[in-house]
Amino acid sequence: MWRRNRFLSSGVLAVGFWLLLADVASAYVGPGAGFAVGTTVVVFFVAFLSAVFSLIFWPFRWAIRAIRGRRAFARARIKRCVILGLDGLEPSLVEKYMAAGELPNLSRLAKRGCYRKLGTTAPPLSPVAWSTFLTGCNPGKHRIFDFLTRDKRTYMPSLSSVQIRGPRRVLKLGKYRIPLGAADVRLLRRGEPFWKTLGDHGIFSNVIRVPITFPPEPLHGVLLSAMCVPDLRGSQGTFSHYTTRGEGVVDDGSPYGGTIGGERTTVAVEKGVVRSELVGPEGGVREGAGVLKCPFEVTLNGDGGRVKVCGETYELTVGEYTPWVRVRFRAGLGVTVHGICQFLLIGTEPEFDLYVTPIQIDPDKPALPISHPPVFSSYLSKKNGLYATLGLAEDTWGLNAHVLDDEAFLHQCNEADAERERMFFDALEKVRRGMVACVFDGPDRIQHMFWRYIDENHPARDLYQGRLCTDAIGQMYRRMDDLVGRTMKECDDDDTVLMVISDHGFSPFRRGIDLNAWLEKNGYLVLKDGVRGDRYLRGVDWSKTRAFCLGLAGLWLNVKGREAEGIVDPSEAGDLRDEICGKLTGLVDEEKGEPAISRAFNTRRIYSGPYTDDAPDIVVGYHRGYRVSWEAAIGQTTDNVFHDNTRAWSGDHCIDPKLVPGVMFCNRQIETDQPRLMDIGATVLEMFGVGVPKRMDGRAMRVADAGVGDSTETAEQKVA
Amino acid sequence: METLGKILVWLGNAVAWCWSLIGHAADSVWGFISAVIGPVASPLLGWLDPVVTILADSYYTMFDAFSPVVGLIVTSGVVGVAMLIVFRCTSNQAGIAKAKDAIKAELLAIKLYKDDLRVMFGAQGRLFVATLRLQGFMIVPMLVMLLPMLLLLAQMGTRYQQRPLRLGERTLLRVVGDDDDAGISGEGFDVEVGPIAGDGDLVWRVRATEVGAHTIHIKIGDDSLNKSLVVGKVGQPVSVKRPGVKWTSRLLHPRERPIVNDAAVKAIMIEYPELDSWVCGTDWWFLTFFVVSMVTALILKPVFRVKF
Repeated sequence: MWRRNRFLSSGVLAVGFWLLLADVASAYVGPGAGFAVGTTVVVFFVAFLSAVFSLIFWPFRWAIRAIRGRRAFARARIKRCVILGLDGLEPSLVEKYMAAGELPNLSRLAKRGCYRKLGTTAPPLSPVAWSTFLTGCNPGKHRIFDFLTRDKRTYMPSLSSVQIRGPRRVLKLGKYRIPLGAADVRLLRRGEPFWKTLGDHGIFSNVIRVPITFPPEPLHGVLLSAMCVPDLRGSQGTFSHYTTRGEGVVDDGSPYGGTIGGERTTVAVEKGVVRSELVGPEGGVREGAGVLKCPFEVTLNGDGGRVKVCGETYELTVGEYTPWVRVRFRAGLGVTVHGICQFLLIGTEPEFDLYVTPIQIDPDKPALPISHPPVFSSYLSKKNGLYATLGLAEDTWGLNAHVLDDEAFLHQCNEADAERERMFFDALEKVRRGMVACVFDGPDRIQHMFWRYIDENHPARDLYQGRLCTDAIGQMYRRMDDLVGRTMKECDDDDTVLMVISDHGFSPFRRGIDLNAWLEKNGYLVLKDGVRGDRYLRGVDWSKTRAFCLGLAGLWLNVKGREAEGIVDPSEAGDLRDEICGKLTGLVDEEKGEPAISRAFNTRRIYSGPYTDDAPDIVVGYHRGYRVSWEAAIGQTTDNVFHDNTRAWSGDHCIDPKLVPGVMFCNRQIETDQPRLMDIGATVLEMFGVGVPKRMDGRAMRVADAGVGDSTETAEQKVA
Repeated sequence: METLGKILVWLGNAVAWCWSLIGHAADSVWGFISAVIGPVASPLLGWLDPVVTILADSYYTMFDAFSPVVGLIVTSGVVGVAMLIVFRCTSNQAGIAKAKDAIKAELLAIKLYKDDLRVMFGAQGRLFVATLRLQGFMIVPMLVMLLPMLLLLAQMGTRYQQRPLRLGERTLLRVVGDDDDAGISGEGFDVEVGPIAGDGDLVWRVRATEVGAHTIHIKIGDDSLNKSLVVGKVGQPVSVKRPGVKWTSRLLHPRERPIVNDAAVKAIMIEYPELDSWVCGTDWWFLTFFVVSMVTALILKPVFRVKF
């Protein structure tokens, strides 16, 4: 009340002064105040006019839409559909916590409507699963089979969902190269999102951070891209570690110090001051300029200090992140690339350690398009403050590499979710008719990195030090439950359908399987003499290799006419797939005496669609506790097939899809026993009275009308 | 179409009514403020005006060799920078940034959610609130800058609003007072006609005969008063009016001491010719000052890291 009164009185005072001063010519009191007063008056006037015109023209726009056949909601059973995606929520944990009464809101939602396990994709990877969710198609139609794919000509890995190149046209002026146009960013995912179909029928969608939506595609509504949005360096997230530690002190077992995940810079403290540079994107306007850099300076002061970057100063406290800091990289000729990052002072004594998050695209001045329409990302930053834009915003590599401790990593997860919450609830407020879809990544990242605390047998359980977060997963489930509770309040009407879904579940990742080593031992892969352990398949003798592993999902055959140095005759490829599948299925980890692979899939049998030939030839369904090894995923071949996983990344889901279904809660009854992620899009279309396109593989589930069949069965009973 | 026309007429009437209401409110507020401020402002100006006049005269000596335009533009630029710094020091920059973000967010919301009237009008409401907040953040810097700016503008007005008389040029001297027994004398001018009594005024027509700063001695009733008269080149300050005791009048005419309250004469005015340059002269100088100071501030805003 007091705040309101204070606000009102200051408002009245402001108006009074404006009126007073505007009456005399000498009211001009300098450029600052004068300009501000002038512009706000203009802003208000323009906004008022726009409102008047919108009101006047709204009937015409409505009529035009009706004439064009976009009679939105004409056959809809609902006014609004809200899809809350909780990436990686694991059914067994949900059921356990629900049974213990720790998730009251999800229990209430299940009681009011329904709770089901949700069938995921093969492989159960987020890019694959969410692509299937949004297109309603199997991977053979949307062409996303893994995070990575291989270049058929070079065997090098590349992102499967997006291709980013420099501008197509460049003006050469002496030593300068002036780009004519924006970077060439291409979405490699195929298929049409179901919200595009909704938009074709005049139904508005607000899509926030659903994976594999970069670059953003046009739709009737707004969209903020997620997974695969790069950082300013073009990577999927490269953190920086500035330290006085010597070059040799690199924590064992991590890829850090190499090229994956992070970059170490050795610095010196001189009279309490550290000077270094942030590393930005490649390529200034000047030819051969190399990477762009932005200098910064840290002044130490006891347990903390200050960092000065781009003319602004921010306080540093050991163990605490700065707010998002805007940084600029000057490319020359007035071209500036804008980014944002956070600083974390890890320690000052005896060694100086400063962590800087990957430098991300500034949503206010995006170097690449990250939203549709482009101003949407700016709107969100103006409305809610700066936010992480990187596809994988939580720096799992930082924790893997022992640069971050548990708490510092968890902070990133919680903050990213908090930023997302603000966007999500703003969307709920704005969209009263239409579709809202928002995905929270926190559950996935936290389970990836903290599973070791709920798995007593995990090899990495006691390997990490610092501020530990042993109950991070439990806290995360309770936090998500609270989010669901608040969402339910916003959806507490008969015209809104709320679905809470996860794209897959989770499983421990104790042992990695080096499929390249297995292929080598079984005669399918041959290494060049004396070359072992090289990344990206560099040591492979292609003239003798019939199959290889790259990425998380599976194996490729080295097919003649398809791969650059292929040797497998296409006519024999089918038999070879079946042969390898047969050998992999039921593979046992003899050291542990446990089944390691549940089954292997010949993708030509499980996928259908025009892009099936782009899929890995075999997708491997690992048993619980197993996954492809870190080495094999990046094309290395080691001596052993099985390796202990000693990284913080201790949980995973890239296993047999039957073992890691997702979850689906809905505030209405759904009469389908085995719903699939693929069916969500078709179901939403059906509820809005829009015909399900034939291209979709998903089927519309039967969703009861509001108030029909409210369950009297308790959530605990359902779980039982 | 008829309905649309009616709506437009209604809206037009509503806007006119609001505008008129605002005008009346402004008048009332101004009257009230003037009554409150007067007793304080008058003695304050009596102390400040001579000091500021000396400072201004000293400052402008460096432009003696140039056209008045040079002094105007340089002064405007310097004031732009000075006010920028003052604004930065006296304003809540974080609050301004937040309010501006809120304004931009709501403007974007209007664009993004234009199909939903409820959202749009909600955004309008929040936009209005954010605008008021931004205005609120202007109060402190405006209060700080108000007095110096008014003093400065008054000094500039004496140089750029009108020009001195040329040799041989004629003008009118007007004395506001009730006593018909009046006469003027002095050097540097001839009295051609007068006094002619008007509606509470006495008017003389005088002709400049000598270049320089002269004094007109006015005898009216029992009172003897002086008024400055400037004859010469453009750029010298002129005092159009020797003001009475009303503080607003003293504020605008700072170069001469005000006439005491109990004198028969309330004010003395000389009709100096207006400057005829498109940069200087009546109101143009103010526009020039406004534009130059604003542009300077806008250009240097990033350098001084000021948000407004």
